[in-house]
Amino acid sequence: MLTKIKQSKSEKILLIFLIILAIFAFSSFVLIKNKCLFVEKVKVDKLTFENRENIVVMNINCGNVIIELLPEVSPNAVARFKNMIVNKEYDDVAFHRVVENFLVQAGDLEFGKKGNINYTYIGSGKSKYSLIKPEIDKTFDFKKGSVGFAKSKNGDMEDSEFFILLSDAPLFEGEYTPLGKVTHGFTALTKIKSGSKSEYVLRPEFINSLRMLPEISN
Amino acid sequence: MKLNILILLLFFTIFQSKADQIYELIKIPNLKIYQIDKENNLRYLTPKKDFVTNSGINNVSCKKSKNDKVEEKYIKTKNELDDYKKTFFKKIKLKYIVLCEKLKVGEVNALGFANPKMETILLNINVNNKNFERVIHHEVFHIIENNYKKFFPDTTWAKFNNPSFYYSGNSTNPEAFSLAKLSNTNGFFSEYAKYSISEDMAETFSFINSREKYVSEVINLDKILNKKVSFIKVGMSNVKKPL
Repeated sequence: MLTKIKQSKSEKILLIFLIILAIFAFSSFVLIKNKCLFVEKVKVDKLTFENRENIVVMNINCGNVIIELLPEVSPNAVARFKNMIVNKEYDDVAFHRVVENFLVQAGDLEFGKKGNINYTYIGSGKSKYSLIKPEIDKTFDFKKGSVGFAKSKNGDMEDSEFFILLSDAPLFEGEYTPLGKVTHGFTALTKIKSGSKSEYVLRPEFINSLRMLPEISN
Repeated sequence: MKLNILILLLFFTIFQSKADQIYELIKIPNLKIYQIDKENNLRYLTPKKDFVTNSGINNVSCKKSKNDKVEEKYIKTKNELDDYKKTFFKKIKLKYIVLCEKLKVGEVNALGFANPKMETILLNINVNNKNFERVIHHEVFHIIENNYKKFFPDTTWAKFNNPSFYYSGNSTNPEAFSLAKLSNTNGFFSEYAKYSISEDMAETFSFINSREKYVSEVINLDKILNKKVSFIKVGMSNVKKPL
């Protein structure tokens, strides 16, 4: 005949401790694994925009980032950026340079494409488009979320690379051409993988797609 | 294969992730904004921590200073630079002025340093006030010379000196770096002017802009300096001409 043995008090405490530990370990694993868990998802169809022709939707690992372009500030640069977006040039292009809490940079079309990354030259590639002159004369407050064209390798012209600021940089006024500003989805940008010791990222994240809003709506 | 991996690792450690907006622009770490002069389009910076950086072939290092010391030299610098026209610095491509202590260039104590590529001059605020204003104009000239070399040809300048004279070049004698006014000029405003053509021009420019009365006297007594002063003035009038 089997007799039921009652758990001692210390055994009960040990069991509860093990259950709590298991829950904690499991939830930590899920949370650490999924860096996008607490990133608010931006649903484009739920938003309304005044200047739809100047709205860009960038899809990255942690969701959508909405950028409003500013053609009144930098007409040539914005026209160029739009043209490259329409031609889907930025799809599968790496965020090759990420400086934590400062900026993310992408747009090397020659050495930064998924499946064709060249770590030696990334950040110095050229697009098939010609270089353009910076438009830096108009006042623009480079605040957190501002988007600008990065300078080309020789330092005086612009090509296809762009950056998005993760913190204010007032000294950038007069140095870089402003393209626009992030209106929604900023948190997703802060989750982009950075290098632990370097600005240049080994196995970087990519832009899944970059589209003008009217293209998505159609 | 191993070499490739080593090169890759080196690449990812060389570009240390230390950038902020100032580092992004002029590649000097640990700086903060001290003042922004919107009229002259100049940004005054000072270290928040000591820094060492690489500028071309030289290592440049400088130390953080106390606020009151920076303030004193900031006022002095601003006063000197306010004498130039408002658009002048945009034209010559000078944007950043770093005020710091114990400036060293390639391990040698320096009074100032110009980095035209980064549109920056560094000023050692340990320099006494008498020499400090001269250092400011001296470094400004290096920026001008770099961007408008065609108006300041070395070949013309070299002909002003006595044929037997040679610039000292890589001298290690500390006296060779002296900015003190020479009692016997003999074609040079200071001992440092004998270092190279570029330093000679910068010293001449510096004296013109900070010791006007002395220059007007000395050029009547020293024919070589007379030619050098005229040369710099003609060059500067070309620089100032509208594009």
